[in-house]
Amino acid sequence: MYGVGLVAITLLSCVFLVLIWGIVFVGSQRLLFGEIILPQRPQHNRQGWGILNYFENNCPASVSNQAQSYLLRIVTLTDATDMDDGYLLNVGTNTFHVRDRYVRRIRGGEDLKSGYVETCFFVPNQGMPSAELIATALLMLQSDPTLFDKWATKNGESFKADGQIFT
Amino acid sequence: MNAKIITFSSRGDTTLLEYDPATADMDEVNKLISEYEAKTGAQPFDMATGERIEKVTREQNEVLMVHPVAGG
Repeated sequence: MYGVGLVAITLLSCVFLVLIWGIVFVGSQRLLFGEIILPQRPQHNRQGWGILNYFENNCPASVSNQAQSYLLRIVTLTDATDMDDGYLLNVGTNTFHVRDRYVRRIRGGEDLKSGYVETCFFVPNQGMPSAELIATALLMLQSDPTLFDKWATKNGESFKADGQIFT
Repeated sequence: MNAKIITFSSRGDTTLLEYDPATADMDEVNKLISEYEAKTGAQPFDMATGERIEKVTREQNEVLMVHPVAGG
């Protein structure tokens, strides 16, 4: 019984001494050198943090924020208007309503035989966030509004931004 | 400031190439872009103007490779 008490007191003393040492050591560092400030190393030098960086850059929230940020930039560049359920884009005589995977032609195209009003669109083999999908459609339609009719009439065919089929 | 060639992907935006526009061999940059286009169909857009470009110059700091879109 006496032995167990002695061991417990010794252990507690050790813990207490370590605590005191830590407080005194860190305190003296701050007294001698002021506040300790770790240098901010550039992202690419953080070799040891590779896995952490991977998760920081690829976690769903981060990907979604980046995608949203690019969409906002492209909405500004294309002079599109943010609606509750998508974006309005004016290109020449055409007005498109672009939302996730769907685009509707609100104005223009009356003289075309196809007469399509709405079509879906997608980027094959990418699985990109919907914000970037919308941003892609805005850029492409602004560059070439006839892509709308190509998407509508050529089911499943991929078109490059210059209007050419990509096989 | 370095210039970047980026693209959209399932991981959000991905940097394909980063270079110093002051010193980079722009023929080499455009060659890499052509190879990427031949492989994926993606074409370059200037992120400063939102316009599609034929060739990347030293004036462009951020270029987005836009992948083909299909409809249906």
